[in-house]
Amino acid sequence: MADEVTFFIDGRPCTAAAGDNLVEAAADNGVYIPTLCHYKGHKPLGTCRVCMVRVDGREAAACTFGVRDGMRVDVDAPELADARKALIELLFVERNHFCPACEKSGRCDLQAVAYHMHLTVPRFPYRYVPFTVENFAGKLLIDHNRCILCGRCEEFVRRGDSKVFAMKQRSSEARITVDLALLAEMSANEIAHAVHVCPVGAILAPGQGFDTPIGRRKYDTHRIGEITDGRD
Amino acid sequence: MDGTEAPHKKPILATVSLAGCFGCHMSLLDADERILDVLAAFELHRSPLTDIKRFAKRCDVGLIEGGCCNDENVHVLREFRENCDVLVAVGACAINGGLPALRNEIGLEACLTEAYLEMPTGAGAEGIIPADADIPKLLDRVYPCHEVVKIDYFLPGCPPPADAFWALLTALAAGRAPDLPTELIHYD
Amino acid sequence: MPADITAILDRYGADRTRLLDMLWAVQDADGHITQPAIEGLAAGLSLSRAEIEETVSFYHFFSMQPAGRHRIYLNNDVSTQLSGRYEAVRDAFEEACGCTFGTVSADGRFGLYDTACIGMCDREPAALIDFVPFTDLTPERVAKIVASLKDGVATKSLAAAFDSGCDVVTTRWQRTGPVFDPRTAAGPSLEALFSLAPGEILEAVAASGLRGRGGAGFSTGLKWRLCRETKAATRYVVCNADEGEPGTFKDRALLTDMPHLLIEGMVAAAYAIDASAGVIYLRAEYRYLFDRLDSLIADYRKAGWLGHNIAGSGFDFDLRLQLGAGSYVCGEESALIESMEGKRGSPRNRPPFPVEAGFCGMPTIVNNVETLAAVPRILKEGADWYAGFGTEKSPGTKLLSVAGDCARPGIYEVPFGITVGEFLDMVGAEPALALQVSGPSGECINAAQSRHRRLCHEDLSIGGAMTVFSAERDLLDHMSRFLSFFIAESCGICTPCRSGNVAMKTLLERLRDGRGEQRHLADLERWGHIIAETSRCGLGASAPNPVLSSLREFPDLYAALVDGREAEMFVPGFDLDASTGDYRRIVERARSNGR
Repeated sequence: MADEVTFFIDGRPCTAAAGDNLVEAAADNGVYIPTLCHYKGHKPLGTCRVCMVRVDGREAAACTFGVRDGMRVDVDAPELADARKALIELLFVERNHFCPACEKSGRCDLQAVAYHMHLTVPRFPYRYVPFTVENFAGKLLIDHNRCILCGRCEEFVRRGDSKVFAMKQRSSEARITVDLALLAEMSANEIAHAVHVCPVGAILAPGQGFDTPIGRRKYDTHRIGEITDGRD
Repeated sequence: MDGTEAPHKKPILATVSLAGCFGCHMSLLDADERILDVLAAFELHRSPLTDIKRFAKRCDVGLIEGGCCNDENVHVLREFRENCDVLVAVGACAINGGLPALRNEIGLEACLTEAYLEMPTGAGAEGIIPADADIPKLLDRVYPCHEVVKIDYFLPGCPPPADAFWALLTALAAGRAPDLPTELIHYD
Repeated sequence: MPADITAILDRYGADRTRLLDMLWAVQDADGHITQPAIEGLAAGLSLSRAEIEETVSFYHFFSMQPAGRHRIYLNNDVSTQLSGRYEAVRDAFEEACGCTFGTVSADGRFGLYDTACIGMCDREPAALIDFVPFTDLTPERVAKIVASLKDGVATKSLAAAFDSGCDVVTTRWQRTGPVFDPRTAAGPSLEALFSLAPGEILEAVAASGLRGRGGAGFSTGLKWRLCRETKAATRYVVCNADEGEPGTFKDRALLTDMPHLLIEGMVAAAYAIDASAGVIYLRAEYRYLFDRLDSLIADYRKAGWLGHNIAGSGFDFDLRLQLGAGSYVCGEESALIESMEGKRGSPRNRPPFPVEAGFCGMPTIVNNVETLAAVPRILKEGADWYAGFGTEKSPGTKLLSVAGDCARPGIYEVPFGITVGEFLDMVGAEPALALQVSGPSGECINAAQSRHRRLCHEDLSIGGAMTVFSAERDLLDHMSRFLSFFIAESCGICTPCRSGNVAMKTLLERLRDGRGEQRHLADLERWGHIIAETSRCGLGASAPNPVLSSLREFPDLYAALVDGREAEMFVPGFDLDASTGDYRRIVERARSNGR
């Protein structure tokens, strides 16, 4: 067991075990740092950058930092909140996030974080770039309109050591892809795990949309910062 | 807005639905008996609810449902901008184009061709693209309202819940900038 | 043909880290990376096909479709734009090959592709044909080259007929200096090197004040010491020869004219930090140098200066070349390491830093070609000698790659601290409008107002690229092109770099189209800062620099775009007439077709 250390969030003393993931340690101390790519208890990805804070005076993605004794973390500063909000806005305009028709609406982390930030309209223009929806033999769907390229599926959905999902291309051409041979071997439980790992509505299993009535969905009943494990 | 706090002169409200489905207007009406409070607080001028079609006076607040998919939408939106002190984009379509904007990813020509020339259900029929001078001309894509005119506030939702309308109008009637609680911010 | 996957797997010991080499072998044999090859490699490396494809699709020079028997990559970066012949040369290629850029000719003979800077900035327009450089192109030359290729002349022998040879492009050494003179520069004999203790080498490098010559300027001595102090089974020395910053070609000069200094610098580094293996990561654009460098390494090995128990010292160290495959971001050290492991070149999260956990998790130093090549010179002439050049915080000299609107483009060795004015006079760039210091990732400065500024880490950091713009240039057009470059080269893994730069570019274009408003200038600046502060790596952090620095240095150029305009009611960017144009055209066309 690592030593318990004291660190500071916006000047307030907090405690955690040395080396604890900063996003998780902050949550344990009652401070919500928004994130999309961080999957609690797993290795940090540092891809969405939405957990942007200042650590000892320098901008940093909180999920990629471990707590150190005496560490000073700024979370609440207006310019940091604005930068985090801008990142969410960049994700919204980059693809076509049409919430009213999304199976994941009401339990989507992107949407819930945007609510938390009181986002009513992005400062960036919408792009309306066409993206495809892929149906893999009725077993799995990938809606690229909604993918935020966080890399969670790539990292946390595996068969043995092999990646089931991978990222192809680069830049704004980057797309998530699935290995067909491995997909064919996946059980219903594994598929459900993949759907669960996706923080948005990009990876879906057929027949599971809109199964919870509006008003009773995950983020209808809780705000995202209130759900301490960041997931279900 | 319980009567005692009502401003000396009632603010004037205008509403319109552009490339929308009137769902946002329906949601406004969904305020139940509080709709009476809205009418007590605001004078309703140009609106589908009054059937007044022309601005006869300057308005304090304009609510815009729907984005711009044709030139008529643009003209109406500009009229609202010219005649309202505060303009609010209401609902997903006004803010990001919403459902009509699904055509933005397809392209106008492909849409018209599919709908009027090579429609799968009209095999053998001679297609024609409607182009009468009286028909509004389609824009190359559907535009969110703030890409056409300056918009002061945004009320998301598809539609925004009645409570959100209520919170918005209460704030505006009191001369405050609306800042909705998290619970009232919804995109679906 | 087709590629013998078993033999390829055998050649590289079915080692996943050698995936790039295997993919090159496949592509060389088959012309592109075929599906059966992907399946074979996946099976042989116990990876999923998706994992192979994610690596293949990341790199510019790998193709999963037939890409032409002769692949022609024409540079489209700023120095070729400034050459004045780019469009004509591009047209000439299209006409001669019978296909447009981005496509393959109908007979499958030629594939034409745009590519970013290939390091020939002083000899533009230039193209790589089958990875052989052809420089100083004119439409006439293009016609001759393509005609010869059609006649079946081998690309390499064809190159020899031009002054760009097949394995050497003559360097324009405009000014040599004390450190790098191709006629005289030598390090200590390797006997002398091994007579030193590793600690003495570390001390000498630290005392010389040498800082990373890639641009970031991190203390080389400190980097080496941190690596040496990390306890590990082995350590690695990596030379970053992925010279991708548009406008830079000084490492090409060293790799061409003084590669012995690089190899000896790597041996010294390895000895100093106790590394067992070294890798020169050579950008694919310099593939034409591969065989030459490889045979030089073999010469050193044969002479006993590489391999087991070097010079009886008991020290083992060997070196190999790793060919990249086309990715600017791989110049970032952790991305380069990822690429060396056969993966996509996405920068890693830091910490840990490569000196703690680098290649295959082992402590690794990654140094620029110029940094490593300076080491033997420092060991030969002494740390004090070296530190005697330059300024207090930027000791030594710097190689500059000079291109653009100046009388004397080429390579210059200068002491750190010379002024912008001295530089402009030296290269014959008067009157200049702007100077792009250190390439797109550096700064665009106002030449007239910056003559007093100094080229050193204390003021204007210099990585190597110096591109001059004369007053006739549309500067903001070039800034916009730089943004496009960063957009295309983003690895795509983090939000601000992948999506933010697209937003910046859209707004800049809107302003340049005259559809912007005054507030957009503040937006550009704010968005640029957000991208810089939130990006995962240096590429993202520096991508907004062309806009941010030109906003700072040329505010009038931007102010003229908006002319004080601010949206009071209607958004000036929306043009009703233009936005109904498509509809009118579609209707008219349908009518004329009888509908």
